[in-house]
Amino acid sequence: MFFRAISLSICMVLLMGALIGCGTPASDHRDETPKEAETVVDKNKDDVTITFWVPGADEANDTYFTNVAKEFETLNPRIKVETTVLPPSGHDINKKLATAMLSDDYPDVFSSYLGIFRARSPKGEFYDMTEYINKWSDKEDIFEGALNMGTYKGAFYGLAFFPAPEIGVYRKDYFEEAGLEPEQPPTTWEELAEYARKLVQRDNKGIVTRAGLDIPLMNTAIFVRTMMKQNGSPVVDEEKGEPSFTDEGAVETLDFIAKLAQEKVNIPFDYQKKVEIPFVKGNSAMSYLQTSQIAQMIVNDPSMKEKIGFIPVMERKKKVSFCGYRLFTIGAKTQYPDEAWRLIEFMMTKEQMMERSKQLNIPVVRKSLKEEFITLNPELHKTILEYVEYGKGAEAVPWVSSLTKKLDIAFQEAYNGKKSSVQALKDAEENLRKDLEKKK
Amino acid sequence: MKNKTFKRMLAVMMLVLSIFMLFPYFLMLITSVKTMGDIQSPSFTFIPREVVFLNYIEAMSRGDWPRYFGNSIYVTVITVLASLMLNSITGYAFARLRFKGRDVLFIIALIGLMVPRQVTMLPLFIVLKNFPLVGGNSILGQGGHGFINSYAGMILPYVAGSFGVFLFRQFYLNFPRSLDDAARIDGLGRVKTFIYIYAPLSKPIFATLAALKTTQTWTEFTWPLIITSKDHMKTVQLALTMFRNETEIQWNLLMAATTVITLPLIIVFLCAQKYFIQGIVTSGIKG
Repeated sequence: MFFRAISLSICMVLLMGALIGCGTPASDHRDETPKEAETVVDKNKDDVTITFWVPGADEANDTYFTNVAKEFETLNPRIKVETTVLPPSGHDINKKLATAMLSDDYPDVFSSYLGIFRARSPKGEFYDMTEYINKWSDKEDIFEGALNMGTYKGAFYGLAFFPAPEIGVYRKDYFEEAGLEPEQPPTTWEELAEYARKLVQRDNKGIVTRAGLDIPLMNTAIFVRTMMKQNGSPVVDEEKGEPSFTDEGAVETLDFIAKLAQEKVNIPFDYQKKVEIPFVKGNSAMSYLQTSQIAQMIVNDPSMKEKIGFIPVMERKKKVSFCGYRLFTIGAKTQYPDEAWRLIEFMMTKEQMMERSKQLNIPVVRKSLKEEFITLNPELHKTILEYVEYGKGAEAVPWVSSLTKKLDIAFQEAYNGKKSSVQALKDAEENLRKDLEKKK
Repeated sequence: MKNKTFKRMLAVMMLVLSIFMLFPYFLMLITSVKTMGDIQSPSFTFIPREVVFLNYIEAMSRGDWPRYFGNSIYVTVITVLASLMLNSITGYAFARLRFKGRDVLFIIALIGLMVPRQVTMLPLFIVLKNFPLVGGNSILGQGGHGFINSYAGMILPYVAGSFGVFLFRQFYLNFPRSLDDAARIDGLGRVKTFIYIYAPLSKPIFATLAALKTTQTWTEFTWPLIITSKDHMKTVQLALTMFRNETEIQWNLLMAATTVITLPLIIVFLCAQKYFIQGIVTSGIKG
């Protein structure tokens, strides 16, 4: 009897679960078949629902993007925006995009990291926005560097709105301890190396207790690439779509970094794991950090505001910095490109851009907002804009992740003394070319 | 005397092992009451410089946690109940019934144990997306979204499972053949034999699988991530991503939220502990 009752209740629960579970919320526009959705649009051109995917960050970021979509809805009553805040990890986002692509469930508007954009735009996942951007009256007001970030083979597939430069920072108090002038950051490579040697602290066994400069020993490629570009190396010939990092500038750069790391002026860390950067923990005197990390350090310890100084963009043969971006993109298979563009246009207005700067510390990409942005925090924002101005992101080739891997290997080989820098880079380029050939 | 010394040594070893196992949990608790300044300070300290219980309130006030818990509880309860029912019946059939192709079918089921979940994830997604007559789909599975963005989409892949079938089969193999004969003499058919004889004797194995399935479903991250896109469908594991961004992790809030979401699992384990151990032991002994 007891088991009959148990069995019956299990069956009831399962049946209820199946009934409730199979149903999707009434507000879900995805319940409509595309055919039905099209009919709705045909009958009344004004009523559409677009999906908007945005990577999550902190509460302020998630709230802003959710609210801004609502604000847009109020101004455009015929367009409903369904916002999805994604997990912040690029790995998780890629999983979602891969399945969305296969199931024709790709978002209408997607705020993409530059790396994801570079890897996915050659696969035809994004809508060609060239026509919209060329007709857009505010196009001329956008920084040229930011505009170029969204191009692939001459066409616009994205519109950069969120520059994320990696800014050179140093600890003024550590400079003072080492007898260096706290208001005079290094401006050349030679100064950078010399200061690192002076700033490093070791215990009596020779183990580094405080790094002079943060040099990552894992996932070093971004660090290496930026300096190679400062030294005149193209790294990638984007026009031909070929690797190009065996020139004199590239070799000299790898040699410089590997030798400095061999001198042990740094504490080893993984560049991908931003939370482990020694500078953030107070274990390093100089580093390259994203603005959000600097802001968080100041939140954690307000005295950091006075202690952190900024290193100007380094120049050897060229002034180059690393600047990641986030871009607004439109899904290639969207049924509503006009509405998607309208949402992007709204996000790119001066008001929204300034709002993002104030609320989320996101640098502006409009020339006309430059001064206003600087007045918010003169010292930091001036530096940020300099880094944005000279910023280069990941290379515009679909094989950027292979490039990164090969350069990582080259650095390891040079650092461990297994190969000379010339040989390590030659081998890396040759292997990369072979891989690309195989893929062809 | 020797026996006593051995027992004492064993106890000490168990204690050391327990401390070793509990250490990550202890670290989680400690981190959950630290400040971020404390966590990121150059020198690591076990004892927080300042104990901040407010981290728990701050973590739980971010996002819609009652909803996330509701989703996780709903998905877990349905999954566990359904899988217990299906796996026990299937295990019983493989162990006690003789039918053509039984062993081949069992081997096929076992193959499921050997294929990594990541391999089957995409095909499974496409199957659920194109499931006929669900979520606006036609009979050919076209036109709609199938089980995407639904609870059923989160539940169905976990309901069946080779491991559960294997566990039940091994357990039911221990029973003497005379038990079936006695049931038949008493006039019970196959189904009734299962319900009145086998199921009541299977408490340890039900508890074992319930504990394992609960853990698996409760801690699953990737599948809910790809099958749902809406905030109100988020499970607790997905909600944890709120405490990190591209470059920063708010360890104190993340650990506070993690502590809270592990509590249901601890309760389940404490309740099922007795049967769980019994189940592990009995299913491993072949009769």
